[in-house]
Amino acid sequence: MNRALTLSISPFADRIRPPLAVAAAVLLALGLVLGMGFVPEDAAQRGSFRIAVIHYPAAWMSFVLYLAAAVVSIVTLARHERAAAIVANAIAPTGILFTLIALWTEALWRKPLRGLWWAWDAEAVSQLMLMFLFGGLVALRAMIDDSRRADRATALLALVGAANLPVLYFSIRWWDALQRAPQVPVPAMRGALALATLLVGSGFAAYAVFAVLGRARCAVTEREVLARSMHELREARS
Amino acid sequence: MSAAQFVFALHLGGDAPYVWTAVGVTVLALAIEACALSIRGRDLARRIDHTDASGERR
Repeated sequence: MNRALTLSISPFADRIRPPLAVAAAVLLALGLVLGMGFVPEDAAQRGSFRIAVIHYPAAWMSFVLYLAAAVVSIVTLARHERAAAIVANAIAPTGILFTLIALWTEALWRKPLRGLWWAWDAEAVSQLMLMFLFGGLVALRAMIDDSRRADRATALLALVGAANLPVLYFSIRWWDALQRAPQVPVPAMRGALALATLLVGSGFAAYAVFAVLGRARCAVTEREVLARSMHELREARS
Repeated sequence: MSAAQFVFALHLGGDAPYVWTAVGVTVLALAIEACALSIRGRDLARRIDHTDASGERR
């Protein structure tokens, strides 16, 4: 049995993880220093609009991660790829983290502007729905003992949830025309703000790939530990 | 420009606590997840090193 292959998704995935961690740290540091230190203050929103540098990339990242989970789930169902199922399951906790960051930063952005931590606007509600969808994937995976059945069930749930993504995306436009909740104004993305947002977004993307590959590696090793424990148990009984 | 001057030059005004809480929580959340994954990976690697591929304890 080839241990290197058994304990990771692929040798390439193991090789790119350290550079991804470094890239994430450098890009995030550059983006945050640029965003917090050099983006000029907005006349209407004062300093709080700088939170956009974190909020928008986190919201985009959570959408992209769910889309990635859905695409990998198609591979799981169509080709019965266990590696794909492991990657899909590894995406969900990082997706929850990014939806939480998006929700938390929106609250911190809204409070000094409107005096509210929460409002039922389209973006906040769609982020909350996305967090529940990610949470559902993690919960369903934990509830089913048989790993193959759990892989198929979570892949199906990810696909059902993916049908919701366009609705979530377009609901922001529909809701804008109807809502009465106090909205956070959208800043114009240009100059230092656009560059800082791009840097933080790239840092988040590098971090997400790093974390997902790390969790997938843990999941593969966990399955191997379990298989060896079962083998030991059978040996001890016989 | 010194580090202190840089911090005071941020012009964050009365919103500074909100902005720095957003930055702090984000960085902390990512760092905690990365550390947790690293610790879990090392722990699992240690456990798998104690048994060989056939399940025998070393």
